Amino acid sequence: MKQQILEADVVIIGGGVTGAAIARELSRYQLGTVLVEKGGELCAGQTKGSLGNIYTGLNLVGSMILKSVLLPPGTPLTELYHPHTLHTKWCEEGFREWEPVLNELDIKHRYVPLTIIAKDEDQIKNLEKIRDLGRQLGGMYADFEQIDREEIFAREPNVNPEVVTALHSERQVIDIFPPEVAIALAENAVENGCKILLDAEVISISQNGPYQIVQTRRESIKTNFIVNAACGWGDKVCDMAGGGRDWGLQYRKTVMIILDTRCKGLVNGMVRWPNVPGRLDLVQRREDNILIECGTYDPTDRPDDTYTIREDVIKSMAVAKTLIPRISEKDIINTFTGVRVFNTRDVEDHIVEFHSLNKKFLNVMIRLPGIIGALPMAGHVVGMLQNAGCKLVKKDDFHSYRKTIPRFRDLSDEVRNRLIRNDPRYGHVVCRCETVTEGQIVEAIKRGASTEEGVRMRTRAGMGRCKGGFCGPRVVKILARELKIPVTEVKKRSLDSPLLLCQSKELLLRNEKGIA
Amino acid sequence: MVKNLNEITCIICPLACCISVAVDDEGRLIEVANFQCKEGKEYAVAEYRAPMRVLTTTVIVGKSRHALVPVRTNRVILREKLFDCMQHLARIKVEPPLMVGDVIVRNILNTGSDIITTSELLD
Amino acid sequence: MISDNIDVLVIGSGPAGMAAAIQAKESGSDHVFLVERAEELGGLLSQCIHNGFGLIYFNEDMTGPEYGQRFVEKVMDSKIEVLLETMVLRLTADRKVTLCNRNGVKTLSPKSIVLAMGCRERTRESIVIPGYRPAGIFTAGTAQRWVNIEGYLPGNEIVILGSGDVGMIMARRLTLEGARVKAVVEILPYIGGLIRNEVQCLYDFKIPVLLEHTVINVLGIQRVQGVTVARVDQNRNPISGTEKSIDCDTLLLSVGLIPENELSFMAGVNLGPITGGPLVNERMETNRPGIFAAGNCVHVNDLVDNVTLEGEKAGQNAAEHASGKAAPKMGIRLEAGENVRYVIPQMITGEREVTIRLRVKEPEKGVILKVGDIMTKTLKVVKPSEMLNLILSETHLNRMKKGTTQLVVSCQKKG
Repeated sequence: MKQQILEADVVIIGGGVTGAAIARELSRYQLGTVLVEKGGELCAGQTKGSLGNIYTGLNLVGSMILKSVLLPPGTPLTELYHPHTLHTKWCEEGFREWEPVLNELDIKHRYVPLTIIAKDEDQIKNLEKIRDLGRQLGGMYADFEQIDREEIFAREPNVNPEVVTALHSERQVIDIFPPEVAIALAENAVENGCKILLDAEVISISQNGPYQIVQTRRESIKTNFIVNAACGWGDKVCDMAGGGRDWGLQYRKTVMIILDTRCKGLVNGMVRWPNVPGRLDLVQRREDNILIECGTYDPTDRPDDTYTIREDVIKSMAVAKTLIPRISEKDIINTFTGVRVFNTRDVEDHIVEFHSLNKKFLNVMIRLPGIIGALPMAGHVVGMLQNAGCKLVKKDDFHSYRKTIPRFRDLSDEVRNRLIRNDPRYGHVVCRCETVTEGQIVEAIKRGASTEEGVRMRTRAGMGRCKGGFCGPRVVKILARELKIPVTEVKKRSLDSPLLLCQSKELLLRNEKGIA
Repeated sequence: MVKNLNEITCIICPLACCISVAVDDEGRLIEVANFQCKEGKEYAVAEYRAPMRVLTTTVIVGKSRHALVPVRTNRVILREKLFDCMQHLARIKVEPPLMVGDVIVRNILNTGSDIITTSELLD
Repeated sequence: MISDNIDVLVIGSGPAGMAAAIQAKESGSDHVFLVERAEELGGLLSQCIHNGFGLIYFNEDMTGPEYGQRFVEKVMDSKIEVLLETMVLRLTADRKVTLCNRNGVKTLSPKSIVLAMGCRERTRESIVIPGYRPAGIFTAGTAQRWVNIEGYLPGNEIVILGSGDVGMIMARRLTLEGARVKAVVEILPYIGGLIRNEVQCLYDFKIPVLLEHTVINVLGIQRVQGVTVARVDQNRNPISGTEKSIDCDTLLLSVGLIPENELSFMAGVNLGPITGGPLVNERMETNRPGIFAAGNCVHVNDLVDNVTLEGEKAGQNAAEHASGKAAPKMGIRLEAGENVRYVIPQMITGEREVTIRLRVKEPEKGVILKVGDIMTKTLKVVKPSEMLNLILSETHLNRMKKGTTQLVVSCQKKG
């Protein structure tokens, strides 16, 4: 079968938050932009498993302090602040840039208070370093207060009773759902003309005169520029454009746990121990659930090693209980493993530079945190493309606003009734645990969801405590109906994840005919 | 005389006695042991001789908003015939309206039992 | 027609809900509403196409749909207002119920409510089975819906974790439909469900049973490719060196049922920590006046016949409450004692005959069940998977010493 050939000005490889942010930024200009994603849905890689808060201030200072053990005595702490790195610059700019854009893109978000607690001598020493550096740096880094026990329990009544002191900030952490951010960026990009191809793993990249040909599992694309935002697979994609790469990728996996919404009263915001190298210890409100990331960053050799190890979950729960003693295993409704990607040239920073042999192939290798800096990163990438000869002419009809799929659960009865009058499918609640209606599921499919996971990421159907026990069959049937495909063709997330084998009686009929 | 021992787990009550049924080479009953009640003894002998089962399954429905109708045998049938009945029923399609107890197949595979619907299906 | 003068509103139309609604009508309530989130009445009965239902209540051996049909017919004949594909979004302590369906969202104020939401299944995620998240992992009840209602088979080669009745029933069902069930894996040293199912679902089809084993790993990234099982020790921890792989494309989980009580929680109904369901008195009333509960949302039952009886009790009392009849005082608390996991109800009047139901913690042979010092009953065998009924008659209750406020229900080994 002859592969269809598309034409573009820029091809973005990778449909996580990085690729989606770049796509949106490019869609401001009169350019043909195509984003290719190897998974069956957006966010198939690292974005899905990311912790994903948008934050500034104390959490950044905490990461800086990790290197303090390497500082020769007498060196001021401010030496740990590297404002010239892309990572630091984009974190600082990113938080500010996100605030209005979260509203523009109708992304659900909430400021949650941050409390870094300390109970023993080492933790207090660490905490004081964070405090001191934060105050010395000033600005957003100094926007916190040190509080005593009484104030700690007033703000977070359920923390470890042995806590001695804490640093607290009200507006430095924004709780979001990472797939929602990436999907919102992508939807806005599509609305403004960007094309997205799913199940489109890149197989090869070749030259054709002044152009490059990106060959995927589906179409081929003839393009001027290529942006490599393939995160964990970025090294392989880079090599497709030629050798000479002087960096590699290393991967770290970490487990995360979600607790039932019944526990939401246990924590008001984010509660954590001070940063310690190689691990993260925090418990936070994530929407109406509790999210726990209390564990080490364990080396792995694959970017898709999302294998959850039981012992890691047990260890994580044990540490979580040191933060919030009332946490219990019986409230676990989900565990998942995320992979964090770092480059081997400079583990502290991103690599955003053209390929040594191909000046129209731009590597955008972003390390964590990937969401905070996504907007300035995208602006920077577009600037680099322009400097490399990409003509940028602004569209006058670019619309930066995007409307979310109605979040039925969060709406008042009055608004719900208006929705239902307009489309009765919004009155048919399919997912009981998260109160998701048929109307939302149909809309999610209209917007590009074609698998169970796609529906789940856009609507939350199946994310609740019963994990799709009730809504599962109904969601699958709606997917089949709306996509006009047989039920047996509906997938969990990708082409090789079918949910159901065959129709009733087929196995019996096969056996009878002697077919194994 | 050769004694062939067969152990039958009784299902009549929660005691679940492991009743042993001893037969000779010609299959004639010699002795039944380890039972605690008459019903258990009778069950064990019958179960040894010819295990009988109710078959419950589904049949495909056409021209309906339902995919299947649940059905059952209205009598117990020989356990050996279960799969043959499943094969036979796999090739059958019915249509609404259906009432509870409608006969879909009379005397299926000569078992002496009919296949009847167990649910009402009006559309 | 939605009216605002509702006597009894029942949430859930499984066997408990249908029985409650019918009984409320028969006890004199004019306006009875029956609210159901699914497309049809009957709850899980429609998908339980196997027999074994109704042996007590109807003295017949019926399938789930047949059993359900008897009540569906009565519901339809009784002028009960049925609302299908209707979800209850909110429930308050003072009995305001917010319903949602294609006609809109509306809040009603019935005089009484019966909670009959049933239960949900424990998931892979909550028991933390290691591995990736491949397609092909189903809870047994969801698989049952796919096979028996929707008409699809989940896979070809199945492993089932958990030997409760649902798991065993599905082992047979899938085998009859032509799939191969390669093992039923059970962590305890004994089968979790009825003996009859052990014989007719597993033994009949020569399905291997691995007792004292558990699944320690799921293989496969996008679709299940197999599982790893291992033997466990007395503390239910896997024993290193006993690991064994079983190829399969589907893993079914039958690892526990959890009473569904989000609405109860919302309404401030007191939930028992052991049952996970509302604490109820002998009228099946919760701590919230006018809110009653019955069936699997109160505690997981084994026999649907008992669920029906509980539902009837709740329905009758809900009707009485709606009619303004004064509620009797509950003077006696029932406590779970030796080898008793829980007792229902937890509060009784102590003045009239009452049936109490209980489950033991450990299986035992040759026991005496005791209720305080007013009643004893000897049994040859008790098992956690088989619920026990005890009738406390007025004669028994009259033996209570004056001033008794508590009776301990215990299960002691004889001799």
